[in-house]
Amino acid sequence: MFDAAPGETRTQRGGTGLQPNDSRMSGPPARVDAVTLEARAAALFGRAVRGAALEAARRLTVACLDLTTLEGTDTPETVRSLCVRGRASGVAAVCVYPALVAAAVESLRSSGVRVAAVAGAFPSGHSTLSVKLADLRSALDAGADEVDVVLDRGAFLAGRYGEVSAQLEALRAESAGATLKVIVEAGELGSYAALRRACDLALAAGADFIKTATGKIATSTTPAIALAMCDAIRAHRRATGRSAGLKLAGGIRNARTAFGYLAIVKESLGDEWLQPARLRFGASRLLEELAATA
Amino acid sequence: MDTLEPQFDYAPAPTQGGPSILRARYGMLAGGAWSEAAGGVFATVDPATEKPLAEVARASSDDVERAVRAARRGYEKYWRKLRPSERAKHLFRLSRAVSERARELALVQTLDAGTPIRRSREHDVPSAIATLFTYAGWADKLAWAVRAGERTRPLGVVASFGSGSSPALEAACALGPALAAGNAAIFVPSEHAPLAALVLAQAGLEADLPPGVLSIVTGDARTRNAFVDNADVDAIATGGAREACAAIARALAGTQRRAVLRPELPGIVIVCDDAPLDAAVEGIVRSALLERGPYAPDALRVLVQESILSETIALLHERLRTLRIGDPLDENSDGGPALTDARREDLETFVTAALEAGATVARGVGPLPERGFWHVPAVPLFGFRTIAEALEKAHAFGRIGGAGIWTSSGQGAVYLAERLAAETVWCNGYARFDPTTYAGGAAALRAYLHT
Repeated sequence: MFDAAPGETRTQRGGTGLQPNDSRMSGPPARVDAVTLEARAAALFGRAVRGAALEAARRLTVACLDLTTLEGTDTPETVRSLCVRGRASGVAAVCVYPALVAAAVESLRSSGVRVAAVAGAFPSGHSTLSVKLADLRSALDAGADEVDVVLDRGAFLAGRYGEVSAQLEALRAESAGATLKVIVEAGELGSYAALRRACDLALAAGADFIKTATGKIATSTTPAIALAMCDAIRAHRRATGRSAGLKLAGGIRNARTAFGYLAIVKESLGDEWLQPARLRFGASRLLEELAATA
Repeated sequence: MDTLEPQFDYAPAPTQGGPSILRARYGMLAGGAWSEAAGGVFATVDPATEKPLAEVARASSDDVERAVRAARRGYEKYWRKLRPSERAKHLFRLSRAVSERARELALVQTLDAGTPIRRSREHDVPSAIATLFTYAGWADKLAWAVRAGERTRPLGVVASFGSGSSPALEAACALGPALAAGNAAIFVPSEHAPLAALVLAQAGLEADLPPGVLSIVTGDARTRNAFVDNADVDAIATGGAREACAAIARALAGTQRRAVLRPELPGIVIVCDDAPLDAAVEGIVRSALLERGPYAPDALRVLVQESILSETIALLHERLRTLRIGDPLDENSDGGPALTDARREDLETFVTAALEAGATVARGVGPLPERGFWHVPAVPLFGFRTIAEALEKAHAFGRIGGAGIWTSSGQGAVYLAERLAAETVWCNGYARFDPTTYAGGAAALRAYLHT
């Protein structure tokens, strides 16, 4: 581009870091400007949701909720009681560990509420592909409709993008027919540029949703992370025509926070994303908070 | 799960207060007291509705004469004799008094100038207060604002004219450096948005500045001419249109009086093919429509490298569809009306001319309110192929005020910044000012000093 600028070559600027034989992504990785991103995200997150908008926002948030429990102390009984609440409120899905999928499937039969399971060596992603595939398969065999798998940050941060893509594609193939959500764990990626790249990899691998966080680390979801991921989804649709969804998880504990994210999604992706097929909130305590504000 | 839920949209979110905060009638502040004007009154209107908001004093040449005499007395009797550190205390008190009226100031500016309330409250007013605060700190450090060996003698009585863009901020930017340099300052706000300056005047009274040191005189072109014609005014400061600045330069030529001129220069945005594109599109929308800064509001040229031009246009179209243009008092409005009908027409003429010159125009959507100076947001884009071509097109109309360069290449940004004849260049941004920087703050002080 700066053809007149001395000492600069195309590769210095455009180096992608992809393996030479990696044909999954073409061109340089998408660029992100952190200052503009954070400013716009903060402005959207601060939209005033008042009056009649509050009730619409509350209903939409419940409809898009993945009611979640991911504790070491979970039992079939705690999952069943969660399913009862989810069923009564009309949430989108109940999200549990693979071992508890059967209990959830049984409680939610013919309720319209879907069953989601975390898989793929959740939450760290540090395992072999065969273990991840077996993990995923066990959840699907137990009757899960949706699987939330983690992106392998170990490989990603080491620059082994081809390996990350190959893993995600294998998980995609194994989960054919089910909804695949890829958790990028934004808080571990270190920069918005890396986050964008992780999202682009997940979307290229065929993820139905990209998801912000596992909820197991301190930095989970922020307005700027959400907006950067919306930008990735929009670019993916422009390039491929495919509309992937966004799942926001981790630290979304009150109505005000959820409504801030609704504003970000509404204004960056558009009203078509304001439905459970394209937007989810993963949270354990949000439902009670929403009920309290109704 | 595939059924569409009821759509979620924001309900109206009007700011508390509204027009009830205004008085029915405003005088002018001269000699440390409010007074009526012999020239009668004029109405200031809400540009969002065209409804009159309040009556404001129209200063005649006699009123101007009286204000200048009071300012001269304030300068000779008090301000000039004060130790600089005492002047600093007064100015710190002024900035504090303004910050105590921050909410009111934001609301009044929004009502009178149509600035969206969030912009007034979160940007313009805090910047105005920061500006006054920063210059207060300069009042006893003027020797550091000039070159070694230069003097720091004030000019005397300075009259500044506002143009009506960001009225609270432009008043602070006019008063801050003039007062800190030791002058008695008179501010003449634009007749299209005079009320914010009158809130500042009230703060000036509460800060207990010596009488005559700070005056706010309202009126129209005749009022401003009376200041230009008054030989006892030592300096005239103004921004605004180049013709108006040139007229003042001519009027003051050959006299001992100083013209402090900051004519509105055009702005430019250059989007290179390696730009962070989502951010660049956001930047274009802000520079062209929402945060124009002090640059000629109807002359922002956006240049986009041709390899990304069609993608940029597509993104811009999408972005403009979600832009919220509407009631400036609504917390969720991004953009408001033009200040006057004439400025609305200027903007439309600019877009038409750009279209004829070969630009591609990205437009937002209506409908717009029937009354008020509204216009559909539109941004003309020009393409360029090489950086050399971008520089050539950027300079086609002479000097540039502000330039925003969008690129991921630090080297490329420096390359362009060194070659653009612009006052200020931002990399991946535009019109972001900070009074604590040299260009944004200390540089202005020299204009108000005999060095």
